[in-house]
Amino acid sequence: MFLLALTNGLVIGIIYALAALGVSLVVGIMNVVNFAHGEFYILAGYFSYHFANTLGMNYLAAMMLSVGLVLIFGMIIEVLLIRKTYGDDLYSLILTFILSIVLQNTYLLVFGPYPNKPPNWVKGATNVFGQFYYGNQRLAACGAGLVVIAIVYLMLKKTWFGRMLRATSQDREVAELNGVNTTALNMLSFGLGCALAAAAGVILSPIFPVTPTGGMAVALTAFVVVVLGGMGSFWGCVVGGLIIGLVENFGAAFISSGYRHVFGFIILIFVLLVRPAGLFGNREI
Amino acid sequence: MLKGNGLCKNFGGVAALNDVDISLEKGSLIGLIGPNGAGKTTLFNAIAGAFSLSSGNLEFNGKSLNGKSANHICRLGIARTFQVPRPFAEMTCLENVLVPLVNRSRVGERTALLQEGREILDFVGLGNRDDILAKELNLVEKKRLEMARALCTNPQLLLLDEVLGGLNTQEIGAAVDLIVNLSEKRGIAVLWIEHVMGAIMGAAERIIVLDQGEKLMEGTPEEVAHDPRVIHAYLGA
Repeated sequence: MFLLALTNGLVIGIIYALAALGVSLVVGIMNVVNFAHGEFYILAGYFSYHFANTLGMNYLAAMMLSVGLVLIFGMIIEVLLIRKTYGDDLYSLILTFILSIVLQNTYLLVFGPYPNKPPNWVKGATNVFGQFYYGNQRLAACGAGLVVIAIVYLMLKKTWFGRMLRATSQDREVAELNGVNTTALNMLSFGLGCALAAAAGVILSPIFPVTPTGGMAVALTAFVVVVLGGMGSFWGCVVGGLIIGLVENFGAAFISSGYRHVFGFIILIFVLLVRPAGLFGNREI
Repeated sequence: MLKGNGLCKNFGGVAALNDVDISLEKGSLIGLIGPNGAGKTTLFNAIAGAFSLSSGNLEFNGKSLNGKSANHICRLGIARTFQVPRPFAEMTCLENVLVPLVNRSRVGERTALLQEGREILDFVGLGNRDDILAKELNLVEKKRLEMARALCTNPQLLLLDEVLGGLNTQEIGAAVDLIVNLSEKRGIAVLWIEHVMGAIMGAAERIIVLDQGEKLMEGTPEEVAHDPRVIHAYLGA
């Protein structure tokens, strides 16, 4: 029981961290809270379902293509909608909230109300710790999530683009004075945030089939993780995701599975009482 | 190289800059002084593109700067430092100077940048601090880093905002030598806001005095030091 909860917690935690990473990136660099984050996640799920099941593409190619399309879609959204709102955070908040409702209803109209599930990558289950069998698809999703998180980390730490992103998130005005084209960087980072939502979407949709409104739960969890870990902090996302994943699953296993999500919120409240900026946050709120 | 005519900037009803003319030649070292609130930093912000002017014309090497974004102006060859150093605190010194270096390089040339970044850090006296996070530097080092970062944009015009504040006599001497060196050896024009009068009067070729958003006078350090209007502006009645 303990080991099962631990495994579940770690797997789900990694996945939460992945879902939150895009939100955190966009908050950290652009100071925009993307309420439509979950809808980009769902869109990628639908794309990968239709590319793989309807058009018969290889699942890996379908996933890559979906993430790429959502990246471009995100950049278009930034240029058309978000770019006009810089300087007033409230406008982008309202705008992405409306976008989320519009997208949900569009999905309902276009893709229908029924859950869609892209094909599994792997079959069967593996015996973990010699104690219980755990679905291979979940283990694979956890592995894929770790890979994406590692890629994001390396991109931020080691690449030229990552240095520009970090510089801009630390001091936008000074970055601009050092030749960073922050307008272009905003477009790319919003697109990247959406692509991270999409990566989470294509990795998770074989396990949790997508529905038009399924993005809300994803986005809510992502926001909880980001606030817990600290706005805009990479390690905050990873640690926050793991904490929420573990707490929820231990709570569900040993107290009551009906209150699964409540445990995460209780931890959030306690952390915010002690550290209002989140675990790794250093911003004044 | 830099020409500004009739520069005005209003914040609400307050004229922070009122009809200021400015002209700088290549390699010149010009001091910018004036009491608090005279509009010195506002003039810097206007030149560096932090905001647009209410009216007036700014030209740099024959190109208009009006309405250009700050990153564009940086690429044209104007760099500035801040009175309170603003390094990218969570990045190492080397990474700090890489930001401007990357932005003026082409994709193929980037492997040489690490070397160039180290050389410039060496030049300002941060040679052994490459891998230290900027937030761990002391004030003098942060000011040097600020200078190094500005130099990495490869400027033709450097706007220095009170680089000597908070330094001791010995550190002031070293900093002034560095700035004079930049202007004489590298041909970089320097426009320099400073409250440490002894230093700027000794180093600058000409001094521009601002008071309440207007240009009070411009002249050699001797002329400025003996002008009754300047004395009045600084000391009151």
